Amino acid sequence: MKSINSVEKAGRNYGIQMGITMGVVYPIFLFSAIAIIKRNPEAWWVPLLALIPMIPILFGLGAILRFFDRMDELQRRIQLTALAIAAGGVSIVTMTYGFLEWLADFPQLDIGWTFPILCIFWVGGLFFAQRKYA
Amino acid sequence: MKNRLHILRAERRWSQAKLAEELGVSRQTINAIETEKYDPSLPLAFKLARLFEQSIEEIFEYEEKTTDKMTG
Repeated sequence: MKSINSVEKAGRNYGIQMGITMGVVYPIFLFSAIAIIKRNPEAWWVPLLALIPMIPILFGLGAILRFFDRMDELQRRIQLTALAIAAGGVSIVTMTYGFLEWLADFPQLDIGWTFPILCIFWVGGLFFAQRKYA
Repeated sequence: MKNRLHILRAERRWSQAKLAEELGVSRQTINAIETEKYDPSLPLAFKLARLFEQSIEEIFEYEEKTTDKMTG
């Protein structure tokens, strides 16, 4: 069995934490909130319940920040490159569609799409940045 | 940046994983430095120099780029 050091262990823990938080807890919270709100659409607590999926997202953000604190300098450079690519990608997509909405009467899209688009570009950016140092 | 890291590591019969552990970085970082795809920060270069008991200049060889010459 290969031994792993603290930096690599932090990366593995981050993967596990994010996998559980966003792959398991987030869908449970999201679909539970949707199901409950559909049955009680007029209840006063609907806005509060609508924010329940934000709890695992905040945990995910915490895991990202802890991972950034524990990674080494090359990993940090790779992540920052990926984030720069993600920020650029999201800006281009949102601005492009924004102009289509505004000037060409395209249907309005939910602002909630921004985060998934960011994640897609982040993963793509990571793939691109990792290749440089592989 | 050219470096003698793989030679120094081989002299001690250390794996990349062992060196990474000594320095508190990932194996990917050691591999990227050895293959000259990544130049380490000054603190990491000092750590390497102290670990191998050599000066930074004995481990790393700085090659001036054309753009450096033009702007320098």
